[in-house]
Amino acid sequence: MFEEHKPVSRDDVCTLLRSRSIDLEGFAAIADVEGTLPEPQRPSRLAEGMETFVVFAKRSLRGVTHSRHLPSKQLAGGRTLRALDLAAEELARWLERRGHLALPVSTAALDFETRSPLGVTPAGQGSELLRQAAVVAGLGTWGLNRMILTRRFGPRIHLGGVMTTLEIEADSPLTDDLCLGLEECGRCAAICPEDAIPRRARLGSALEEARGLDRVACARSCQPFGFQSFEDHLVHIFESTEAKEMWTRMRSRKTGEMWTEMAMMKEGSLTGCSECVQVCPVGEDYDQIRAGDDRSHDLPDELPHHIKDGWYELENLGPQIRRATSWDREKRK
Amino acid sequence: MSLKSDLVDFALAQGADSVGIASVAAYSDRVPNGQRPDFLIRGTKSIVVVSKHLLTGAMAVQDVPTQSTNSHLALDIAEEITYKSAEWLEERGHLALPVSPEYADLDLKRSGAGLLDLKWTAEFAGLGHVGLNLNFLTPEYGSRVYLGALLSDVELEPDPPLDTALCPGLACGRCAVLCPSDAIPREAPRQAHVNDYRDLDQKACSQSAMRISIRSLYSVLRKLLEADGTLDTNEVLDNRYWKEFYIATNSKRGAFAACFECMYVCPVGSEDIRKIMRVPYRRMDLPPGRVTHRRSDALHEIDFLGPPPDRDPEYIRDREFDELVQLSRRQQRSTAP
Repeated sequence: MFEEHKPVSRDDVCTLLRSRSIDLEGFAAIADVEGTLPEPQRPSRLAEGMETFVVFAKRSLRGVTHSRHLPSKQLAGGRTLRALDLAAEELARWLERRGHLALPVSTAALDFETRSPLGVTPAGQGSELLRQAAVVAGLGTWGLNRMILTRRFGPRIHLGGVMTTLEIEADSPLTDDLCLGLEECGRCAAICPEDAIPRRARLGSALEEARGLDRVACARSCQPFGFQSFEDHLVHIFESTEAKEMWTRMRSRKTGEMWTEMAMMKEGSLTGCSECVQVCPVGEDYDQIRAGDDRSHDLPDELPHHIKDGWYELENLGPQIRRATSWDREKRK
Repeated sequence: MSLKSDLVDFALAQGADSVGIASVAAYSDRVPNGQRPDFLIRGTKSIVVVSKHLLTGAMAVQDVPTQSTNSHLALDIAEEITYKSAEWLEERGHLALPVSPEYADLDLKRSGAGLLDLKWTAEFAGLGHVGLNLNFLTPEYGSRVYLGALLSDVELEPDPPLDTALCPGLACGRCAVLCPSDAIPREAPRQAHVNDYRDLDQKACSQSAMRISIRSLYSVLRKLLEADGTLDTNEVLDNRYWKEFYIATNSKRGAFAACFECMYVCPVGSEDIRKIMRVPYRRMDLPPGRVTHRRSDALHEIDFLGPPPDRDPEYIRDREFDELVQLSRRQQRSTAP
């Protein structure tokens, strides 16, 4: 069934991933990831006996970040998640041909019990397991909004991974936070259309204390026609008391958008909003991104804030360029 | 080697059949509605368009779901080529945005509109010609092609549009006489050029081409909601329609491309049409001499034939629940006091 074990080096794995347009990769010992997660998210829930977590990232196209068209961003995010799944599949098969068990780990593999769509907020960057593995493998560090920030691309990446029985020397986690935190930056919190990112923290408190995300609120924008929205829409339809009213609700634009999402967006159903991603100043790519026609107007340099009784509080400004998006339409109603 | 020729070589190596470049500024000046590049992203200068043909073998089979699958694969390949080409451009310091070839934006038009209307983009970029039925034709594969595109801030030398029309219009008219929904023009002013009368009744076309889509769902739900009598729930649920709807939603088969009649008979295509016409039943889709032309001083008309009768049930799936609804009405009338 499996071929004889053949030597596989870190470089071999990196070379294969780079040939598949993967931008960043890292290695973590499964045991190190295991202990840092609550039981339902642990690697052992997926497979026992694995030794190494190969975690990798693909950057978002800068043109996608520059774009002003929400569905194009959403589709591109879905496409990136799919490319990561394909790269993971390819690496896993490559490892198995060399005699090592391997399991691709997908962000979109949800079971609605231990891994719900809320676990993929914000922006569908990666599952909780993949994000934690990325931190342990030194790919990046946690941001204020619970995304992973990387040196080269800030949070403008999506994550994929493979667990394998092959032992590979692990990378070390980064020692310093890349995220500048609420007081020094807070741009993700100021722009979030759902006000889902913490805007208030004790003056001088550590990033870890302030970090957080209202996942339900975040999902309203980053999964605009996702599962929760689908459920809400069905309830809305079936609460109709007359056939005519029911028909009107069924025939609404939202039903059309919901169907389009299911038929076409696929993994993109998890990548609907990227406002916080676009304004994060971390990453070697940020200067070029900020110079773009649309991105330069996202937020002012000085964010309005208040300091009172030892607490720092930032104002939520929301996206400066109002797009005719579903979340806006819903709010207007 | 220039950046343009390197990019074209890269896209061809990824599987594109042809690659063309259009200038964003020049193209935008010609677009009469909101489907302009700056709706998606500002500051780009070039549109890169690629084509990918349907497998000739898929066109030669009779099974529509198989063709539907192949059409989505061809479109997916075209889209993948634009993603890889966008990465290629960004690796060289430029910005690039792949444009979804199938997403219909409801902000552009209430019933949905493509983001760039790629057929016009491709014609502008010199890849081919938009034919009588608004299908895009290339010299090599006629209308049996799918398109992908990306926008970039790099200025690439645009390609000129073709200087001759590939589609002969009503002088051929094969797509129009066969269309199950009669959605393609069958008459035009006698001396007019095909570019002046090429058109499509999109709603009618969608009844065949997107027959298991949101439109058919609305139609079916309305029918069931407005049924006068009591419907048998088991009969409603145990219906082929829901199974096909599930498949269409899950895999797009039947949702976006489920009618290929006009493609079977388009005679343009130096690479594939002879092979397709060697298949006996493909040749009998529209036997030679069956197109009837009527010409007066003012008008050129052709008569409607429709597809071979044995394919008709494939195309009109909204009939699905008619019998059930009528039965329920009859039962209600018979039990009325």
